[in-house]
Amino acid sequence: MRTRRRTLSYLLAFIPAVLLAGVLGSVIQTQFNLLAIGSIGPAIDFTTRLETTIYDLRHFGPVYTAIIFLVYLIALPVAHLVVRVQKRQIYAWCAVATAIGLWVAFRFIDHFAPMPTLIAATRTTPGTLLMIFSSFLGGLFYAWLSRILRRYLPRTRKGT
Amino acid sequence: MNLTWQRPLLALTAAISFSAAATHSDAEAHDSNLWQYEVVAADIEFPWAIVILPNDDYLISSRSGALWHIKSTDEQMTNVLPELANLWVDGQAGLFDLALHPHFASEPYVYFTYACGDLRNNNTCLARARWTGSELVDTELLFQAYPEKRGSAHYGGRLAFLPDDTLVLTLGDGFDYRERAQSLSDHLGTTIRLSLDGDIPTDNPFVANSRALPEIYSYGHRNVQGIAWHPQLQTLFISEHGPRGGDEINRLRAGGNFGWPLLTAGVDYTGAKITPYRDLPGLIQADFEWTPSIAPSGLAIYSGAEFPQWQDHLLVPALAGKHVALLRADEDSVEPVAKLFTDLDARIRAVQVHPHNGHIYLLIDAADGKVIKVTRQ
Repeated sequence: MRTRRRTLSYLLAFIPAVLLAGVLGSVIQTQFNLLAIGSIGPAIDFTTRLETTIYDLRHFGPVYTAIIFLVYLIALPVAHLVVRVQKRQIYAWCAVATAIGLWVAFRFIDHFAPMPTLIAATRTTPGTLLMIFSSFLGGLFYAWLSRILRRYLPRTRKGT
Repeated sequence: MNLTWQRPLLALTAAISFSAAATHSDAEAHDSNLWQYEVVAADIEFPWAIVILPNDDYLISSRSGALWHIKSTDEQMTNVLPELANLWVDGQAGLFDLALHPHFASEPYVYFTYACGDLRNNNTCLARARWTGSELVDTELLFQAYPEKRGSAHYGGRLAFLPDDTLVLTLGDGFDYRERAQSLSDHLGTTIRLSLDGDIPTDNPFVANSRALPEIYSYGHRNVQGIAWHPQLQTLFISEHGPRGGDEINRLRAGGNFGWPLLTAGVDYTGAKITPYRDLPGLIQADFEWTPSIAPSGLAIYSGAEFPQWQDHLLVPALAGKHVALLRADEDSVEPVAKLFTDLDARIRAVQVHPHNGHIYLLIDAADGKVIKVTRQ
């Protein structure tokens, strides 16, 4: 019963964590792009920044979230395997696995895509690190949420 | 190799004369029944450019690093590319454009552009070599774009001669370096103007600017792969690849800032906005745009007797669009007229017009690429 509740908590935490990392990553890449545009053109005012951020959430967000989904699908089970052996530090392993997973995904995509760098914000090291940080936070959130959910999910009755 | 593609004609016969066609409506004047195709060269890996020598032989560049001399007499193909120690072939990199010296009869030089360097340090080079009739000798490097950048994308690489015996070379932004197209301190995203010997003309627009490279002619470009002088309008036209959307036709102006990446109608391949702006003071707006993209990869101005209805029109080959866009230009505007050669269903890298008879040559972009001659039916 305990195992089933734990598995359910992981499944329920997965999608919110993917969405959080997807939204954070989209917002970060917009700010990096606007920083670059602002460095060669007029200063970006708040309204323009907000409009561009919302536009990117609608148009870049789904693509990026799909990448995060695939990364988490592989990275989180790996993190759970390590935790099963070590029996602790689930927060750290989930965060690290999702961060490394996204970095590997960037390298993989850029190797096979026809353009040198698919996501413009990852052209620089600070941009890449901040994008990876969004995935790191998503991994942390997953670990936290799954623990919370486990606490509040109803226990299954004996024999049912 | 002299394979003729006759389109199946049911109603029309080969007797269609131009005089009859000229009286047809505008749409019919660009009807595919008016022309026929002939493959004049095949099995050329990613052909990029063609020049027609005075004896009607062809020189055809292959992006994969070959320069084919095809004789008009027996169609024999010979690779005549001179030894280039730093030719870089990878992705979009390789051998690019070809052009004959404007006074080729007395100065038989062939100009060619190519990617030079290696994966981490490369850019566009311009060289010329003397044509002996069977080989290219005495290669001279005339220009190497600065800086040496990483990656194998966006080289520009097309060149055109101006009536004042100078040349303009297009240079790409290197893809990852797009913001530097707004800088005058390197060649990324610029066009440059040189004398035919590679010297810097004293009347270049930024010669007096100590912060600018003196060979720069215009800037704010993404990846210009089409350039042609329009003799009637006395204007240099360019075609430029946009990102996802925002392909452009522009009139090149000395000292002009064409806006990339501050202005574009396109978005990034991921769907993200590249810039929030469509218009900014001091930046030149496109004369004509394509959204969605057609990937314009060349430009020719039609001149000749073969298709007089297209006289002085712009011919823009499209890779993604798989056609040649026919556009009409005047002093103020550029208007689309028709999509030509769509029945080929092929990525078209370049279009060249025979300087004497007006036959059109299409370079089909493929690993087993070919050159197709278009003549009147």
